[in-house]
Amino acid sequence: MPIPLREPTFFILTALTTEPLHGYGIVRTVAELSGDRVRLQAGTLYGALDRLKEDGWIELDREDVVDGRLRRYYRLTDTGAGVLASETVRLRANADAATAGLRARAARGGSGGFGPAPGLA
Amino acid sequence: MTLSDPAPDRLEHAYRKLLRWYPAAYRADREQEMLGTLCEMARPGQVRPTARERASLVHGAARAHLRGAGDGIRGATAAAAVPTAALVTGYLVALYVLLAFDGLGLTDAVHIESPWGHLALAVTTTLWGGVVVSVLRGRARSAKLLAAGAALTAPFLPVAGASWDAHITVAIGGLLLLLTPTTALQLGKRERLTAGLVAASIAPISVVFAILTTATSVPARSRHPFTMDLDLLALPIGMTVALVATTGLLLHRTGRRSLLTALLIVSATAYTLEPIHDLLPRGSFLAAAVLFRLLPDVALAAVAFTATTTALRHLRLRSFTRFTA
Repeated sequence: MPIPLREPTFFILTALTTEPLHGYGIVRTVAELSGDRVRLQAGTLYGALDRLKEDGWIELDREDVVDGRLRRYYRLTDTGAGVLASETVRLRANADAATAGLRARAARGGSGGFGPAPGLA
Repeated sequence: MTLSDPAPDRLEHAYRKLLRWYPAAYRADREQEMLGTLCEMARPGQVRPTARERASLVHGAARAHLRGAGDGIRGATAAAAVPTAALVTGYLVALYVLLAFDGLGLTDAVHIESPWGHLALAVTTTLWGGVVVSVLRGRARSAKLLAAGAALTAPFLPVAGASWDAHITVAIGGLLLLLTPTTALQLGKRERLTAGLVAASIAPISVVFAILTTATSVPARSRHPFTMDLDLLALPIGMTVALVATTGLLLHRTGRRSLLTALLIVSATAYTLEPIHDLLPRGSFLAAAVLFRLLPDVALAAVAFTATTTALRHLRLRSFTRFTA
């Protein structure tokens, strides 16, 4: 799995930080976390789960049968949590750099900057 | 939605049909789970898969096939690398043993005239010994470097029995290892144990076979053109024995003993026929040539093909079931 993580991968790992989830649970949580922006399709979801499992970032937690349907719950491994942690550090550093740049731009009096719009202050 | 509503059934059927695009081994593991997720994700009252769902599943299926093929090829080259290394080792050992017999009148297949010939053989053997040690220690890079070295020194080997097969054997073995993906050579602890077992069983077997075939061809030159010597037979014999042994190890757990038995019988028959043919007087009629020369070759090809495809299929299956472990 390449780093930087692709957005669906990032959100799947994030979804599994709180509790083990099954396929549909992951889809729902990812939609919530991303403000309904990332809507996983089944093919994409299972492709990602295969690779994450192969890399040892997630693992099978338990199996349930609900209404005659097989549910497999996946949990985040310590390796996966470590990858997600370093990814958040990277993303935060990126965001910080952008924020600092925008702040400096606003301080110079540029328009449409980070701070409150001129005239409102 | 009422109980008599046919929509969920129709939708499930449509999803099931779409999932057929996935590899069978993958489906055996994932179908029920994916079907459950797809049905849970469906909107209430939905009767057929959306275009996005279709596209996603077909794309996912294509990727699963590609991954399966990749795993299969990697697995097969990994499975071939160790027997190849063992086979060439056996070949070189046999060469030494036959050299020791040189001048005893047992065989005229192998002899070295110049000291340079001895030196070349020693260098190639040392390099190849390094290849074997590297493979068994999981050192992919040094295995490849040494294999390249062995392949490069192969042309300087002494000509054995007026044939170039010694050079070709070592060169092909070296090339095979060079082409093997690095990851396939980085064997895990258990794989290394299996590899060691395979190598330990193949090398001695190919030495014995090579010596036996040479010994039964005494004196080789008097019976040309139907002569048998080490060079002509050691490679196919070792290769087939290697393939059968590898397949045997792979099939051990799946319980497909009958196939293994059939493979062993066919290969044994092939080798029993070869020396019989060779003991026939020179200039035997064509039927004998066809019967004894062609039949073993066809049998060999069949054994090699069956063993390779079985090993491939088995490895591919295992690469998918690994996900559920």
